[in-house]
Amino acid sequence: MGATGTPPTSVKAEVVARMAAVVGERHCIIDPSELRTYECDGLMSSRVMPGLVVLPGSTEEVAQVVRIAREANLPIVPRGSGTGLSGGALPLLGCVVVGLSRMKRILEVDLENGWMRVQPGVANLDVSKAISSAGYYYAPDPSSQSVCTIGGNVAENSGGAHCLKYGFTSNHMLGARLVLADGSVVDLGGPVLDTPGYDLLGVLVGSEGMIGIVTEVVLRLLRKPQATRTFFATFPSTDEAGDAVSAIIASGIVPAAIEMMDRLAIAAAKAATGLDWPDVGAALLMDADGPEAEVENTADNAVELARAAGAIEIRRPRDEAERALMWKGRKSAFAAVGRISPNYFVQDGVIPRSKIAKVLREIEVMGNRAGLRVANVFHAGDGNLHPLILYDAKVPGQEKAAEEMGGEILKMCVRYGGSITGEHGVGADKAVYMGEMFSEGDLETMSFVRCAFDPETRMNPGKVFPTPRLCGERPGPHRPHATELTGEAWRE
Amino acid sequence: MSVFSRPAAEGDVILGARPETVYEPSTVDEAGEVLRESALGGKTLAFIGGGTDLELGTAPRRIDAVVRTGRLARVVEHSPSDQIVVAEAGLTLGELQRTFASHRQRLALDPPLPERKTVGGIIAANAYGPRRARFGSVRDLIIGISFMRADGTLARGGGKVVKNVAGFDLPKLMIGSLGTLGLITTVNFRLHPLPEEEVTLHLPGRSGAGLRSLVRGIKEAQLEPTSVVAAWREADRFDVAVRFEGLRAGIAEQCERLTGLVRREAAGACETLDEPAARAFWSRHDEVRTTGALRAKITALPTHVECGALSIHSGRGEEALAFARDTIARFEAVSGGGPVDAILVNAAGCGSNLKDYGRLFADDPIWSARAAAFSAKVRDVTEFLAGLPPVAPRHPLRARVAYHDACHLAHAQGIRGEPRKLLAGIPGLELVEIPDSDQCCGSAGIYNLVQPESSEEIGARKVNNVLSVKPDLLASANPGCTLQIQKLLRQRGQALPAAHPIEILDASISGRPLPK
Repeated sequence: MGATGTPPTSVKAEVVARMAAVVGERHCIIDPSELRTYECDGLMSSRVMPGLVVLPGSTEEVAQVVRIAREANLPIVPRGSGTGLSGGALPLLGCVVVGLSRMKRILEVDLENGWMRVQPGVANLDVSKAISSAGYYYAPDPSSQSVCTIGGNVAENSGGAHCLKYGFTSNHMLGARLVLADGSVVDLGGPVLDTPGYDLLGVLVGSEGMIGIVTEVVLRLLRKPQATRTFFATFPSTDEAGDAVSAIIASGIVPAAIEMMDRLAIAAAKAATGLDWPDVGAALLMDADGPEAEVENTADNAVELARAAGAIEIRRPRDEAERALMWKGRKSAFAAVGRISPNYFVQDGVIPRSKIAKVLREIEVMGNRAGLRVANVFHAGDGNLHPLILYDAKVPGQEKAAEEMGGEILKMCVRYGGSITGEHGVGADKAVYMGEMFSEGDLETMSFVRCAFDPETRMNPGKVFPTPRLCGERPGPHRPHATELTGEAWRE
Repeated sequence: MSVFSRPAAEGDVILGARPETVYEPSTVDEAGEVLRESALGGKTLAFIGGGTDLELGTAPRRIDAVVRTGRLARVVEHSPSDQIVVAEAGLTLGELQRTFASHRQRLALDPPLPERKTVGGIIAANAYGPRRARFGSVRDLIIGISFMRADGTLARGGGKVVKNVAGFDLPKLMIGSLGTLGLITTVNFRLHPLPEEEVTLHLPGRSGAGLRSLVRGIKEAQLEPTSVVAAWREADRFDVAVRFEGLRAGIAEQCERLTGLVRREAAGACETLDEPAARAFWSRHDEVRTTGALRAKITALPTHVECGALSIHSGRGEEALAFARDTIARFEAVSGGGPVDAILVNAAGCGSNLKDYGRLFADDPIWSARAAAFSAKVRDVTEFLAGLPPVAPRHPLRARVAYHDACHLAHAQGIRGEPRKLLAGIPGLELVEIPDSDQCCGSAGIYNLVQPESSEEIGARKVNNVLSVKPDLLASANPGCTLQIQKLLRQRGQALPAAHPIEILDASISGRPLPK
């Protein structure tokens, strides 16, 4: 229906008309029923109607959209395909959502020098698909990779199962073109390893849409490894599985990926995929890759260590199809939990991997105390937990209890020296926990960085920072609140 | 202040800026005291770790005091099972590596001078070594940082786990920041297991094209070396070292395959270095990197660019403009908007064209500013070097060298004295003046192709003048001139070697014989 619908009162018709003139009427969405698509991302518990959604088709269109939004004093929320789990693309009431879904062309490929230039709307998996036949691939592999976009990956510094060995988006990005909050277009980095000056590209990656809108990205491409060896090992409980992970890593092996599932997650994955996995307390799925002779040894050593740690059974896939099926079981585990529980929260936190067994027991205790079941399926190699807290929204109080437990888990991660997010980002969801991990000085410094790019905090405001401030507004020394003085409230 | 301080000495001078005081805090709190008081007093500070990279960056105009980090040198935390370390900024890389040795772990970062380079300095200067090919540079190994802002506020970013996306990536922001954003106090790194074995293969005497085919071959064969280094030997000859690390069985197989790959080439040589030889090679590699005559960070363009000079010379204006736009854009992309001080060029014809972009696009509303900014940074390599004080000792070269003024250098760019100054600075070298040196050799862009007769007539005069001073070597800074003069000499059955002034300077600095 496009720009012919009724605009929400918060965005003036004149602004809508200017936007439509830039991107074309059908790429300027104001119809309330169409806007509904954009009211949330993967964090579906929070929904806010944007004032307007525009879908620009070029860098120049993005720049013009930003300039118009600035003149109209509208906040801007950039969006890829909306798979983010922390509400990074959650709109603000009456804001402009800039969707990059139309910008999905691969612009240039240079295999000899190992890079590719793409628009931000290209899906993660499509990058690898485009070069797979030549024997190359793009390493970061978030579970949502068939849908999630490169632009979104840049904003969130997305990882995936195989970032244990290969690193995250940040380690695989060479350059970017971006539109800043004032509508100017800048290039950072380029198709070589290092460029002089500050590593602004490093700051851009993971900045959750607050630094600018990326309109082109130069990605690093890798030659496929010669061989991959996969095995699936079952254990009586997560204790033994956790020990196996520690032993494998301690032995000097750097697996390409090492994933853990607990009893509930295994049951869910089985229900969804029909895999013939046994009912056991825990399972590991490990990939080793590299030159054939090296990998053969690595995999054998890892299997030995898993056995020594108490593995019940080791399965090795006979062919690529069987291997793909094992990974399908792992990658579908999140969604599969929907089959064993009406509702669930996905949490994302990081702990030092040597603490896995201990932390999982603590989570179990928390669950028992709250009367909630927890399924665990996660990247064990780097200690990135993904507890899935199961609840039934129809049971009064359960949703709230689940939410509280999620928060408790994050605080525990910080207590163990970890992080409140390993790959899903802070977004709208975890801003309140930033203070658990960072001091006032840390956060203020981060906000200086943000204000250097966007002094009006126009880009994706309200995300990441727990206490939003205007640029230039100094927090000053902490003045205790009256309730703190009386001992009714306190800071930790 | 209770912090240890002393008056500055000669070793505390940074690129000519002399501080008054040197502070050596031994705790982070003491460092905070120095920064806060300096901020209050309006003092300018600089920071020194091992002092190995002080020449990077722009020279400071004024430094009131220097903070040395040598007393902030503790390992705060090493967790072998989590493979992470937290270290204070003043700790040397060598000392840090020794704390892991018994756990068979390492920080997979190998810049030269590990006994002097400090953790903080490595971050500030973005130091790296040959293992970058496999493990990446500092940005791929750092997981957290604490630094002190100019106002004395301590700021942390990242954390102690390898996977973490909470907040802005302050650790990466500090990489290569050369002390301009604050004083780095502690750094958190991820560690890697020490490999079971390491083997270096030596592939001597490869050509530039041979290097490229080798790298292609390695990728094609899915080999995974941790370092591939080419060391220039002479003209178009490089000695290459390829290092494999990992499990013994895996390495043996990879070495075998690489050897096979090289043997299949016509003249490919490949030898496995024994341990002392490998160690000698890599320490020689480090030495070359640290004792070079001039240290400049070079950013290579990923692909060849055509500057458009030849199009201009042949009257193809539109084509020249298209090449020029492409060149400007590619250089901008590589510099990433960062501070490139100069764009160096070693061919006079190209240089004069690049310097002319500003004028070419003067009336172009879209390109004029970019072209002018680009041209303003272009320098002939002799122009750039003559402006720097000579640092490396020059080895004597016994030769009579005649310097030919290329028109595109002398007339188009006004560069006459600079190449002469560089050559005259070489002990033993006798610089002789060619009569009418600044007259054309007849090459003149493509003049020698379109007007061969007249071109040869002009060229004959040049050759007579060159031969009249009986040189051992002709120095010429433009490929067109060199080709033209050499061709005419050959026609007369005369042989006179020719070289670019930079090749002669390099021979002197590195103690090699003159190009033949």
